Amino acid sequence: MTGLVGWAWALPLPFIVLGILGLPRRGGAVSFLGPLGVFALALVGLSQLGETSLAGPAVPDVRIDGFLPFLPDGAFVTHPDGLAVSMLAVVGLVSTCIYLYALGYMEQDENRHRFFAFLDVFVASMCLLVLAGNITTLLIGWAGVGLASFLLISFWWERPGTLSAGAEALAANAIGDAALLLAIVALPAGIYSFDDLAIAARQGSLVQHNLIAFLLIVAAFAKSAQGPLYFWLPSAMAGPTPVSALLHSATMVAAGVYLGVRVSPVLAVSPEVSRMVLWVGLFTMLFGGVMSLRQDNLKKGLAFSSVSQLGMMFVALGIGAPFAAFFHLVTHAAFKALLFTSAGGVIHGLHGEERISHMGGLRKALPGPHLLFLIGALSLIGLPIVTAGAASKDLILESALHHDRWLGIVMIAAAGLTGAYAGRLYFATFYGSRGHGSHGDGDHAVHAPSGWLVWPLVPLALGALGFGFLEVPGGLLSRALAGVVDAPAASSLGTGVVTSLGLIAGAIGLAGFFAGRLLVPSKSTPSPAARPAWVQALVDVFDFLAEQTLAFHTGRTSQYLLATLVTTALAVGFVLTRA
Amino acid sequence: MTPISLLLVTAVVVFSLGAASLVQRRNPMSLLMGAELMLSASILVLVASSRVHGTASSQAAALLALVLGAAEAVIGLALALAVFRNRARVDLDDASEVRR
Amino acid sequence: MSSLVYSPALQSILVLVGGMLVLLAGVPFFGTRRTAVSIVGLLIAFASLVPAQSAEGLELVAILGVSLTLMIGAALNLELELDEHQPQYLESMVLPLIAGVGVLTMAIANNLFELAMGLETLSLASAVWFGLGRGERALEAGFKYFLLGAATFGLFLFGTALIHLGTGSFAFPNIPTAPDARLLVLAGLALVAAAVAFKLALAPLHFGALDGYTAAPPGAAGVVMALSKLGAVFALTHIVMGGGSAGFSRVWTGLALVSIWVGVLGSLVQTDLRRLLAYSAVGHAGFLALAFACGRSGVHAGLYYAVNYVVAVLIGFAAISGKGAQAIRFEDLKRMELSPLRAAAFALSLMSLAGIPPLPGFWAKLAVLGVSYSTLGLEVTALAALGGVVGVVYYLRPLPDLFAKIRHGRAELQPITRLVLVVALVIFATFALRPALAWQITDLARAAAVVQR
Repeated sequence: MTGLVGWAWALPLPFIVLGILGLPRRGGAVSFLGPLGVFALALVGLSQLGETSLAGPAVPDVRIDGFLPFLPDGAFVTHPDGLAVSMLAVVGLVSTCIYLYALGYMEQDENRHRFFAFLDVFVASMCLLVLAGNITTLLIGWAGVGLASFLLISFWWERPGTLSAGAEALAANAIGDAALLLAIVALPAGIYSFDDLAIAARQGSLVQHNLIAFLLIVAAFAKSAQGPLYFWLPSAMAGPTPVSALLHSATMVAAGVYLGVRVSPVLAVSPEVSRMVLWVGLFTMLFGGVMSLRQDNLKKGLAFSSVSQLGMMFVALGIGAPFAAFFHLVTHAAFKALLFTSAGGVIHGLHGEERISHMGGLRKALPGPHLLFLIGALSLIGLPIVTAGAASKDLILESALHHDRWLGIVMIAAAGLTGAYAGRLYFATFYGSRGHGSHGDGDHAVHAPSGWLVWPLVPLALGALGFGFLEVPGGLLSRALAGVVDAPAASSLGTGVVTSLGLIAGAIGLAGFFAGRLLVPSKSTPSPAARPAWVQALVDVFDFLAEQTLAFHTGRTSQYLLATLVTTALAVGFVLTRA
Repeated sequence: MTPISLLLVTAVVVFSLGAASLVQRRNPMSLLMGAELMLSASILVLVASSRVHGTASSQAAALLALVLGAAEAVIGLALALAVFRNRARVDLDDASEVRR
Repeated sequence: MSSLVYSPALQSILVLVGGMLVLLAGVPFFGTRRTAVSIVGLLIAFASLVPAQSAEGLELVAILGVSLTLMIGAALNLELELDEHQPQYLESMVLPLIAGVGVLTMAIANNLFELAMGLETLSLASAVWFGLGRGERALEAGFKYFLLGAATFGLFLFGTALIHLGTGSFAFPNIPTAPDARLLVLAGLALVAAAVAFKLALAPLHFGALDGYTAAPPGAAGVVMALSKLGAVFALTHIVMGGGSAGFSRVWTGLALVSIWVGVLGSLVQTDLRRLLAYSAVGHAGFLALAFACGRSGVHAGLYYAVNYVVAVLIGFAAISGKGAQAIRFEDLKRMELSPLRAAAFALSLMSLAGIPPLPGFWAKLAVLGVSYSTLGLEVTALAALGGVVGVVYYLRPLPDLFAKIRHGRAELQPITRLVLVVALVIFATFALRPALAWQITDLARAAAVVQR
């Protein structure tokens, strides 16, 4: 049984075939079995982690040697260690919930089979990414999730803007893929796995560790929408809401952080790169929060919140606290998926309306989504004791204070910003009165969500409340991750659930939350363009170059002959002058 | 100047003339002649080389190259005829529909 | 005895005999039975392509690659013939056979002059085949391809002659040390390399091939693309293994990067599907050139790249060239309502050309980038890798249109074409899941090429 853990990525594959064959008649009705199986296998793996038998570790690797014979690091390896299996559990749980949710959300869509087939491609690639034992294997999953992301963002390809949003995601991903490709070819011989990489880094025998760390982190930035590469994530909200919840908040965008945690030993020996990670993360965290305050679109507001939270995880990576980053990744996956899916319930109830200026007063009409959104928002701002977000954020703040007093203070103050944008979105949606943009008379226009849009979210809600206890009482998470990523020394954790730091941050966050009500937009304001100037400039440059390239191809044979002969003459001249 | 370098220089000049007519001319027939000129220059070098090294292989190659040139000319003429049959003016760059 | 029966030259001759039989089917005596008679000729040609047991190395790779290419070309032609009587059916059946013989000749060439013969055979057959398409555009493309081919053949022959003058033989040259001979050989190699670059569609010598692939008749573009890449790669293998690459590798590194980026930029705003694939041929030529610019250590990666490229590009063209589905622009994909098999084949081909793991195109790119990093350094590799991944953006743009309208029954292929397409897809899947297999096949080639020296 435990031997199967390394194969968990194959579980969704049969359902892709089913989808292509058009089975079952209700598209995707059985597809949730794939991610459910992933979750089950992850639990099996977690329960067996500590134990080793004579034959070796209880959760064995899958290894195909010589898979890519032209690379020094050419084996296909899945390596289900504690970090991988924990992440696998998160991916399995969140995707199971969202598959069930999507059954309700996509009920009316005639292309459901295709939708679930794409989701299966995503889950399979994501599992491979998580389980990968070396960079080559990771890259297969890495590119697979990028492809799935493009296909799912463009799923409603007839709607304006979905294709260009998908292309933006592809372009940003391409930068990361190039960096990862270079990292593979730049790895010195003898580094056959992430473990080898970590050992070499710790021993200080890794040549070019700065270059490798830099390339890996650029790849992580692209995937996690950090720094200048944030632009694709808000646009990606053009996809269906289950996609935004699963890929673009909970799991796929967290893959960058996951990679950062995986290679944290290399970061630890590359202080320049670490400093870059810290600053980029800090900037992105603040920037995402401010941008979220300026959005009229509910999903884009949440998307910028993801950008901001991911920035916080990168801050943790930059200051050398990978455990805190991963812990926050886990809780963030639960509460952000919850926020998106409950927002999806609202959007579904309003027939596709996504502007918060056209919402308001919905707490009566949509009690289920209201309650779930509130739980998610409170976890996001880190309400102490009762929410998971508080526990993980607390750990990051603590590490930040240890690292640098001012950094800690800035981050604690930023909790107010988080509260403000969360409160703004919450109050605009559920309090006040329907905005004047709304047509239809009051609650008649709202149709109540079916059970599919509420009940599958209960596990996520429980996670958003309770995942904090993964760490605080018994240190479950730190035991699972032992040997891969070590938790900070027990002394700083020992104070238990309630820390004074957590209380202060929670209070600031809550104050921000209520202050957010003041920021509710009174009328529809166009959201600022999501595409930043430098991206637009780059697109213009590429368009210009493309136009010039095409203009060069005049179709005139005389020019073609000229180009051919002149190039040849230059080549001959070059060769002869250097002889 | 030794006779061989003279031959070589001649060949290079002929070759360049052929290449220049490919760049300069617009009439397909002149272009075909230019290409044939380049082949002739090559043949000249092959013959010269046979003289230098005393081998027969390059002489045989020269003969084969003549055959290749003839085949090329036949196909080129046929294609040129087909392209410009329906045109009043015979200018190479009039046929530039396929572009960008 | 056996050496006579299985000699590669005899094989080529038999293929041509089969081709002649196909042409004979056109005499009035056979009347409406010309299709059946032509198939007999084709079968003879293909039967003679079965590799001998002794075939190994470059010869084996060539036979496998050329057979697959010709099979797909023949199936597509047959499909059009069965669909509606094609006026130039017999010619379009024979020309690929001749072009294939040209490629085989290049693979088994022992010296530069044999290489030149193969090159010219391939060029002339392709140019005529391009010209066979309907309308002025095809003729124009054929003529352009011919003219540029004739010019570069002149370069090749002059280069060969200079090398002979320098070394006294047609053997694939080493760079000599004597100053006079050295200059002659270096100039000759640069000229020869330029002609091969034209076959490879390496920018800025790519114009003829680009227009040819765009306007050629449906079945022709993909087949010629595949054959000329194979031919060029075989020629390069001979030249580089002979030790001549030092003469042009620096130039080629530059041209490779130019080519990769011309491929990217040309495709970026392209809405013409065939033109997109044509520009992709330019980009891929860049990666091939990059491999061979690395010298002997890059030959294996280059052969590997070529084999994977050829399989992907053939599948893509087969999917959009058959009956009722001659896609020209992206929008046509929506209108066509491809059958699931064709849609899947086209999507897989595009993704492989884009370089998405775990498809063969990605493994090949990885192999080339690996050898390029260790030989040419970080900067060159980074520029190439970036060009490679930016390509993903435009290759995948047609996919949503493609998946949107998949219907059974419409735009279905003939059984024969479906069979060939499935065979190609099986090979493709094998190369995807067992990259080591294609790597081993192309490795034999290197071993044999070394033995020949």
